Amino acid sequence: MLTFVVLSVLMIVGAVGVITLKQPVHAALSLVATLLTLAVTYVTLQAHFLAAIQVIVYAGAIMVLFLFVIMLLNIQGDQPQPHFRWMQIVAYLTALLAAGAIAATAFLSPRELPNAELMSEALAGGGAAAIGEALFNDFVLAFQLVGVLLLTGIIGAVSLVQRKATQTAKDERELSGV
Amino acid sequence: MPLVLPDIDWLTLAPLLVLLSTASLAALYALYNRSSKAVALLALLGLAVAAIFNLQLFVASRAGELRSSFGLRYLADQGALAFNFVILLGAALAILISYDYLKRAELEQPEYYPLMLLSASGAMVMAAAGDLIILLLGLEIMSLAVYVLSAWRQQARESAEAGMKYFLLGAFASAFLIYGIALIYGATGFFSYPQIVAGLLAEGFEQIFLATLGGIMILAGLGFKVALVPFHQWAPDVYTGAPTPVTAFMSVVVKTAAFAALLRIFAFIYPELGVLAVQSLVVLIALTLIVGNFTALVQRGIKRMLAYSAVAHAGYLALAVLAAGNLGMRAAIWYLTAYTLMNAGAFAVLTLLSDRNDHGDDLERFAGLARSRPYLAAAMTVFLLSLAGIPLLAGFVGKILVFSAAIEAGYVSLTVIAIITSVVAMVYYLRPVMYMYFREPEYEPLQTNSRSTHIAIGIAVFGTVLLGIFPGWWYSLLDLGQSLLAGL
Amino acid sequence: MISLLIFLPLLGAALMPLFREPKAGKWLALLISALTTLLSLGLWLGYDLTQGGFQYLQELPWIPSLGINYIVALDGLSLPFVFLTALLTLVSVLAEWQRDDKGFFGMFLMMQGALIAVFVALDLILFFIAFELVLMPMFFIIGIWGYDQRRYAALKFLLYSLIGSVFLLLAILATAFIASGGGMISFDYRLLLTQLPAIAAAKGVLLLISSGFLVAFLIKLPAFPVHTWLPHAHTQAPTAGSILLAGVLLKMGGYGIIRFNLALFPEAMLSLQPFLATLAVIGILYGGYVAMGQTDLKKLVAYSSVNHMGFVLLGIASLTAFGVGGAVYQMVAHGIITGLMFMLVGMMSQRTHTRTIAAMKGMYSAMPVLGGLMWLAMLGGAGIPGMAGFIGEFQALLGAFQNPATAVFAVLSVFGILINGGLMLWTIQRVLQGEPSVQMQENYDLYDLKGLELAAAAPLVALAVLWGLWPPSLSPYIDRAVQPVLELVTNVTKVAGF
Repeated sequence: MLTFVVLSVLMIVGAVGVITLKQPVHAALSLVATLLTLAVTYVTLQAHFLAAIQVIVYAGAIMVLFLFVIMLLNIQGDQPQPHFRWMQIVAYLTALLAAGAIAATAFLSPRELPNAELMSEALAGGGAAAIGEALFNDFVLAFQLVGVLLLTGIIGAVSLVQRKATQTAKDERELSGV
Repeated sequence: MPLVLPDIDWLTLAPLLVLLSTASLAALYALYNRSSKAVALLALLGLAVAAIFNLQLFVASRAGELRSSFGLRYLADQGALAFNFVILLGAALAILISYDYLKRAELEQPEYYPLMLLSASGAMVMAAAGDLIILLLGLEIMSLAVYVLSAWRQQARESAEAGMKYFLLGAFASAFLIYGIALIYGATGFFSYPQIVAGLLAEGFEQIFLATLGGIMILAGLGFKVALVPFHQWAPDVYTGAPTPVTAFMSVVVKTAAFAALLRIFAFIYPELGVLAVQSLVVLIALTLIVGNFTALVQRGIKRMLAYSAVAHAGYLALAVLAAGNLGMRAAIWYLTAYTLMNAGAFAVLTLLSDRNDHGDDLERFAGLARSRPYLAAAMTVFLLSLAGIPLLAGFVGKILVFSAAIEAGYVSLTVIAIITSVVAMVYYLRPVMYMYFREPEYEPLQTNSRSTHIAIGIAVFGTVLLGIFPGWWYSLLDLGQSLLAGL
Repeated sequence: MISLLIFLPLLGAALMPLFREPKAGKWLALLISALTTLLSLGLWLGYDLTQGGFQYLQELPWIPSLGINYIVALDGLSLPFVFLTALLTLVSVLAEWQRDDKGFFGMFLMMQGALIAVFVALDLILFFIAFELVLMPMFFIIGIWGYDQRRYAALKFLLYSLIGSVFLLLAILATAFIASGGGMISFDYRLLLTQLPAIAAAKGVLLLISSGFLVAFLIKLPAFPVHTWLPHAHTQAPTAGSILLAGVLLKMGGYGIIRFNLALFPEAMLSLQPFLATLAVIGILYGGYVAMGQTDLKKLVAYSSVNHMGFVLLGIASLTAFGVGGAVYQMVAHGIITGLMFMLVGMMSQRTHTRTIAAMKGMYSAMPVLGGLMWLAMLGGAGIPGMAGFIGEFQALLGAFQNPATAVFAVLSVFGILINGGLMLWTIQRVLQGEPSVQMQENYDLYDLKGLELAAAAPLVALAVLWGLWPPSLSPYIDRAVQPVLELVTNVTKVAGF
């Protein structure tokens, strides 16, 4: 229980850091912290396979991509001046209120954890088999649809970039024509 | 460990698979041949074939045969199939409008059509989903394509802004939806609707607060997609910034799909949740009706006015959602059919009136249109009057159906608000009509013509009038005695 | 047969855009309006008075699952209005013969179809649809072919009517749901009449629902505080528009009150009686008084309509057979006489290029036939015996005297008759008598009525006199229809112990 509390506090601090830190690099690193603590939480829940995936995919690949982009584009943290000061205050208040409400709901009706023995049995061997079975049985449609989603993303991204390229080429032609 | 194969009913999936494979084929074909025409025709063909399969399923479902795939995760019940028709119709109209428009605006690129098909297939997944995860994925597929499409006019600031804004706020809304799904999963331990309901009704269930909170979060996420106030902030900017055919697509297909999903979960899950979940929708509807209609009143640009009118119509539709159950479901499907025709039609007319940079939708451009382009003005009048709910046009019947459903369900005061705000709506719908007929032209009207757009307008006018005068046949087709929703 | 009356004009309107020749429009309109006039006359003559009730019934399913059906029939109440609609459309077409505009005549045909549907519909939703559908053509007629302030007038007309319609729709839905009592919903008027106890049982909302109907109809009528759309709409509309507006559109209000408010909510009518009678008297006095102050001849006629419609409301509010019958008679008479008046004013201003009363003088000596007819119409408007207007006003007043509850109001409204009579005579003096000004004589060609114009005026004049001298040709039909409705009211009165 104690580990869970410590980990959750770390996770929340990291998440808050992502949206409050002004420097993009700092924010990205803060995100890494959150993702890593999440991976550790998976480990404490015996889900070793999921933890490994979490580290490799999110904390690893995706974060590297984030940092690459930040460094390549040399994004500097800017200091946006909020137009409406009161709006900021209202936003903070709403967020606090919502967080409070959610916490209250969660703590007011606490739920017993499932049987630990049963869980570790199901997740035997890190849970790869269990995940696989769920993924290709109950969630096979979802699995396929994720594929479609990725296809959509690829077509969309390519067409946007490609159009920019053709547009630039055309503009250049027109310029040289003049 | 024996491997259990999931149950797959291929016929159930056929409309979806047809669309997906057409989209893939079209995308591949576009690599070798950059002709938009071929790709657009292919896309239309795909929609037609999907519609034929859908018809076959619809006939079967009317005969009492309820099909589903993946253990009730993908449903082909009467509700889903009827929504599929609406989605396919909306997509076909959008493609017809797009073809010449893209050429004129020099935005031609064949990838446009596969993206639209992908988006439509996402919409169909949402309508058929019997599982929250499937619903989420359908929503993401649909939205992702629309994000790209709304930024299609990249060189224009407002289009890029539209895409960006829609994307950011859409991602935000998805986060709400995911969180809501997670909470419901946390409370019940299931994703699929029947199991969730069973979990909620199970003896000794104590997580009702958590589940209700999840329900409200899901409502917020879907409310964003259909633009319920206060989740409507994106709508005016995105509607105005996006290329007009994309706006048409967005306003009909995306809305239909989101309402299909909302109706289903509202009919299944919400009755078992705390009363708070239903109450929050009541508040949202009241806000939507009032804010949507009154804000539309002060708009000068037709496109922006239509954006707010779309918000207001979301309010009327949500009224039918409240009356979930058969009556509300039928009313909503009927209303969405009418709405698809008249709204897509109105946007189609707009594409012919705005210049290649998508400007010129302000009210003054409409002055004297009745004289310079009488048929176009007449078509626009039909659409606007139908949106306003004038009798003998489809919009009126839709409103009557929705209002009766809401009164039957006991939401009388909300119906009163809806009816009163619909008078306000008359004013802003009639204003362009007055400009068209009662004033002299102020600008040289654009003589843009396009065969495909004319076809789309023709279909829309015909449908609006037909459904307005003979509403019974489509309404009785939706009549099935038993629940429109399979699974329970 | 009745459906033919509705759909023949609508079909004509739909065919209008197909003609290339602009002149074809008016010929088609003439043909169709003449046909419908003959047809409606035939229906009237074929109506079996001894049997009474709804005849020529036609029923078709429309949206059966919602209890909405196409049900049309005629009774003594609707017969005169249907005939009036068809006749006035024919007259309007003739009065506007100089126009070569397809759209204009198309709108008229559409309005005719919708108006007839209003008077024959026995399904509440069908009635509502027709009621709304009437607005659109009139909106376009005022807005496109009207005078200078036409846009404002058109919008004002439409908005007032739409606000009324909203309450009407709400009330219709509520009535049907209450009457259904949780069972199958139906909007069938005849069925609702059998459910009166169920409707009356809903004590809390009864007054509210009945007011919903009432608001829509009072705006249409128009009664005092909501009459302000009428002067604008009338003055800005083209001549034929004014004829139909005054002749038939206003009658939808009175018809609606009798058909729905009286029949479906007798209790509510009883408790609203003083309120309605007050509105009626205010309308009578105020309408006459304001008409006095008008400088525009058309506006004067418009305000005098407010006065005349006040008598209609007074007759209805009396809740006596005599009063209600008189109200209907007055509506028919007003349709004929005011229609004639608007037509003559239109022809006059077409020749003099003005509608200012002060500028028109000695019209009788310049154009004897036109002036003579104007004399007749004005006297008819003043309600002199021998013209149809007299019978209606007299009967309505008598009805109001019969009921002790409204006798006071009847006394007050006698002053209204005096004001109105004085107004008409004064107008005759200002417009018709004397010699036209030199400037007018020199600048404009003051030719007298031509054949076609005379043909348009003739039937109206004939009917105004016929129904003034021989009421039995009209009132038995009205009484036959009004009687059963008032039995409902008297039942309530007995139960309540009045």
